[in-house]
Parts: sequence; C-alpha cells; structure tokens
Amino acid sequence: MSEPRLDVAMQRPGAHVVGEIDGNPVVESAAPTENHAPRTPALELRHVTKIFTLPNGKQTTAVRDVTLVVEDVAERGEVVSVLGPSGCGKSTILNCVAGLAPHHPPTTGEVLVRGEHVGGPSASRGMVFQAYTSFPHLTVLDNVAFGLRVRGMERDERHAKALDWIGRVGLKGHEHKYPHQLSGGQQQRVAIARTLACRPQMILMDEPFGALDPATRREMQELLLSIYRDPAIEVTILLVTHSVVEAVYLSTKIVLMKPNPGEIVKLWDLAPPSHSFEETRTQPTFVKLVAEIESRLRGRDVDA
Amino acid sequence: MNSPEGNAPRGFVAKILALFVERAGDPAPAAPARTSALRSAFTLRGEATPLLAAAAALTCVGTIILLWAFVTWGKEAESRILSPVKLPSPAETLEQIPSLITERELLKSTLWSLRRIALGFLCVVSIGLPLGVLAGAFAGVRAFLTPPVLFLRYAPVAALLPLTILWARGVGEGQKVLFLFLASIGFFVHDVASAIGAVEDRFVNTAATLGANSRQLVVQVIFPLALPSIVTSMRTVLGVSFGYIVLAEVIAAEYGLGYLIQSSERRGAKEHIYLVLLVITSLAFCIDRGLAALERWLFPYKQGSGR
Repeated sequence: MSEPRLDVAMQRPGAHVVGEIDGNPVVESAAPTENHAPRTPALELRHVTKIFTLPNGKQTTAVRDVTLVVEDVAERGEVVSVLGPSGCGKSTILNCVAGLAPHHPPTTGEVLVRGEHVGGPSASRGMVFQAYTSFPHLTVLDNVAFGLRVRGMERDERHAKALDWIGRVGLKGHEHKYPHQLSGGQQQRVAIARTLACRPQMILMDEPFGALDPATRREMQELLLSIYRDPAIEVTILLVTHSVVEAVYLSTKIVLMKPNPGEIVKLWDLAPPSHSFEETRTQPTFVKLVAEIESRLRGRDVDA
Repeated sequence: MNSPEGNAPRGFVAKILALFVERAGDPAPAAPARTSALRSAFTLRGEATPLLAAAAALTCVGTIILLWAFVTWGKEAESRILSPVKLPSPAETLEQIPSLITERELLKSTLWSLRRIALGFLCVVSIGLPLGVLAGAFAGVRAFLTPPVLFLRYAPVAALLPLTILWARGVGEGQKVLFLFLASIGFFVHDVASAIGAVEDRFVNTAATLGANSRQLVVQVIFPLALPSIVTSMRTVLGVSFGYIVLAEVIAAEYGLGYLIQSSERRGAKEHIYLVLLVITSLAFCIDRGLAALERWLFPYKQGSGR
C-alpha cells in the first residue's frame, strides 16, 4: 500500500490546488525546488482515496482523490473548515490526518503534516470530538496534564503547565473538579486545553461544538479565534462542522465536499476574521458566501 | 397522555386509567402531600419516598411474621396448623438465639465462612483480573480463553463440588477455596473482558492523539475507565460466593455457616437453621451495601452521567 503513495509523492512534489472546474479541484504541480516554497505546507493531502470493505464484502468509497494544501502562514494559525452533507467523507479526512484506524491509512494517496508522512496518531495532532472525552477518573488538572504525563514530564512541571492552559481557556478555579461536575462547554474547554498543552501542530475538531447550546457555542468560537490568533500558539485547526455560519466566520479556508463518493467540490480562501461576530454576520460578503454554500449544500448551484 | 385535558375520557374508568397514566414528574394538582406520595408510589414508573418504601417493606415483613405466627399458633403440636418439627414458632426461634451463639459457636463459624469467601475472592481477582484485562484488550487472548470461560459459566456449580473434593483430596480448606474459585472465575473473567471492551473508542482515540502508547492506553485510560464495572462485578462475585460457600459447607465442613445449617437439620435445634439463614442473608446484604457505598465514594462520576 505504501508504494503508490511514494510514487505520488515523487511525481508531484508540492502539489497545489489552484481552483476548480465542474466541481473538481484543479491541481497544479510546482517545480520541485525548495526556493519556491520557503515554508513547508502545514497540511497536505495528496490524492487521498479511502475504500472501506463492508462486513458483507461490498466495497464503498468514502473519499476519492482528495487533494488539499493548507499553507503555513507566519505569526498566526489557520482554521480550515470542512463542510458537506453526511457521508461526504469529512470524518474520514479528519481521521486520516489524525492517523486513527480504520480511516487511516488511506487506500491510496498520502497525508503530510509539515512535510512529514502521517503514520499513526501522535501528540502533534490533537483531536477534539463532539462527544465529551474528558477522562472521568481524572481532575481537570490531570486531564489537561495527561499528554504531558505520558511523555514523562515531572509532576510539578506538568501541573504548572496545565494550570497555565486551564487559565487560558477560562477554567481557572475549576482545576480540581472532575468532568462530571462541569457543563458541556467547560468539558470542551478541558478538551481544547488538554490538546493545546501538548503544543500540537494541528488540532483536529470533529463537530466540537455540536452538542452545545447556541450561547455556549458562540463563546467557544471566540475561544477558538483567540487560539489561532495567538502567535505563540500558531496551530492549524481542521474543523469539521455542520454550521455554515460557523465555518464562514471562523475559517481562513473552507472545503466543501459532496458525498457518494466523498470529493472536494469547492475551496474558498478567506481573510481571517477581524471584526466581532455581530458586525461580521451582517456584512454583504459574509451573507452572500453563507447563502452560496448553503444553496450548494442543498444541491442547487446559484452562481454557476 | 398527550391529549389535552378537555379530550380526556370521563368517568370512573378514566379516573382509574389516569391514576396509572400520570407520571411522577407531572405537575400534581393541589393535593395533600401524603396522598400524592402514596399515589406516586403506585403509578406506573412512579417513585416512592424513602418513608413510604420503608413502610411497604415493613408491611411485607410484618405480614410474613403474622402468617408464621398464625400457622405455628398453639402450645401443643396437635393444636398447630404446622407441626413444630416442620416449623418452630417465632417465639421458639428467638429463644434459641443464645444457644446458637454459645453452644454452636456462631461467631467462629461465621468467621470461618468469611475467611473462605475472602480467600476464594482473592484467588478469583488475582487470577481473573489480569486474564480478563488481556482478553478484553486482545481479540486473540479472548478467543483463546473463550472455551474454558464458557465451560465454567455454563457448568452447573453443584456438579463441580465432587470434582473439587477429588482434586483437593478431601474436604479441607483448599477444597473450599478451589470450589469458590471455579464457581466464580468464569463469570469474573467474562465480566472484566466485557468491561474492558466496553470502554468507548473516543477515550482511547483521544488518548492516542495525546501521545499515549499502547501500555499507557491500557494502564492509564482503558483500565481506569473499566474499573467501575469491574468493581460491580467483584460485588457480584462476593454475593454469589456466600451462596456457594454455604453449599460447600453443607456437603462437608468442620465449621462454617453451611455446616451449622446442615448439622442443625440432623441434630440440635431446628430453629438454628432459620437463624443462620437470617445471619447469612443479613451479612451478604451488609457487605453488598458497604461495597456499594465504597463504589459511590470511589467513582462518584459513575451514576447520573448514564455510563
């Protein structure tokens, strides 16, 4: 399975998506010189195809020939949102990047994070799920320090670092509580702090705010913005969401996918949000893009 | 239940129906608290207040004692409904408490039984826990252990007794512990493996993306998350061990609660059988409640969250 991936890597070093024709992304190969790309892309998917064999022996293509490049921007992070109806392979893409079986490894194609081949799960790619995943037997402090503990950091040092992250996600004073004593939003803050404490290159979020009420969801979106604006953190966030408004507001790149088989339909590169949500959501460009994506999700093409 | 008030059928039948249909959570009309508590206790899926539950339980116990006193009423054996050989009266039974404690050495027998249960439990846990964890974590180990576990789970426990006497060369302490071990180990390994297998993928995946290796996944995530279920299974093992040890002691033993029952049937006061039965059930109940309290203290997150 590894040979075809190597072939792809050698044929197309630094493949770039430059646009799309008839719903298919156009890929342009850059010259294989390092001068052209001073920074290695934060994330690269090269012709990723994943075929699952169902229990009844039939095969189903979860994603087909997905190619995506997320450039590394200096001094801030990126938020890449993946939108699409159910069954479009959003979660497969996310789990492939995370390195989690059975989605990983892809049947063909290659996943690179900062130029390095993804071989399995790693603390450099933290995952935040929709379902709460705080370890119920550990306090908030020990939950956040979990990643530091498994890499062998001393107790005092990891607790000091964890306390710092607990403060940054706004959970100061809750460090000795257990997850069952926290609200849903607080549990997701624990999950985010726990991931950030490992200083990951990427945070992979699968519908992270899907189970939260609208007000809490808004708070969490602002938390996410503060994270990727922070030059000290500089992390690429890959966000799978069902909320078009959330994607358009938060993202610097939007990936729209279609199902059967999962393929990229269209990509948008956006400027990072500079205004508050209340100001942004009334801007004509914002409204127009939300309407366009929503109509595409419904299966109608407005501006074709 | 969904129909508004106006559409509800009227009349006596409707009122009876409403009594069963109304949920405890529904806003009750301005009725005296006592009536609504009583009604709630006999509503489908309703709840009983602790006081009401205790009253109901005491009513049951009182009824049994009254029935007991009724069928054993009378001084002479001929005037009773049931002869004293079959069933002594409540008063006669109470009178035999001192002799049970002094002549029959109830405390000594109780301690012997508890000792056997403790030793058997220790063997079950020390061998069953690692096997169960391995079976839960690795499909290959699970497949390997399935035949003996299935055999022990479905083998009739009483039929194992003669075998243990054969294997342990007699009816000594080793035979008792071996019997308790064989009677529980299949269930315990199966329960532990299920508990380990039931730990949800999202916790394991999260830990993996935080950098945990396989050993850390098992030790720091999977095992602690399965522990509440494992402790519940330990409680069950202790509970059934009480029944099994009495069975083993009834067959042959020098001391023990089962021995007391068996020897009281042949010689001594028959009242002791009933008293020892009460001692066994009370002891098993108290130990189970104690462990349940320990569980709540150890795993406060277990209840409420639905897991």
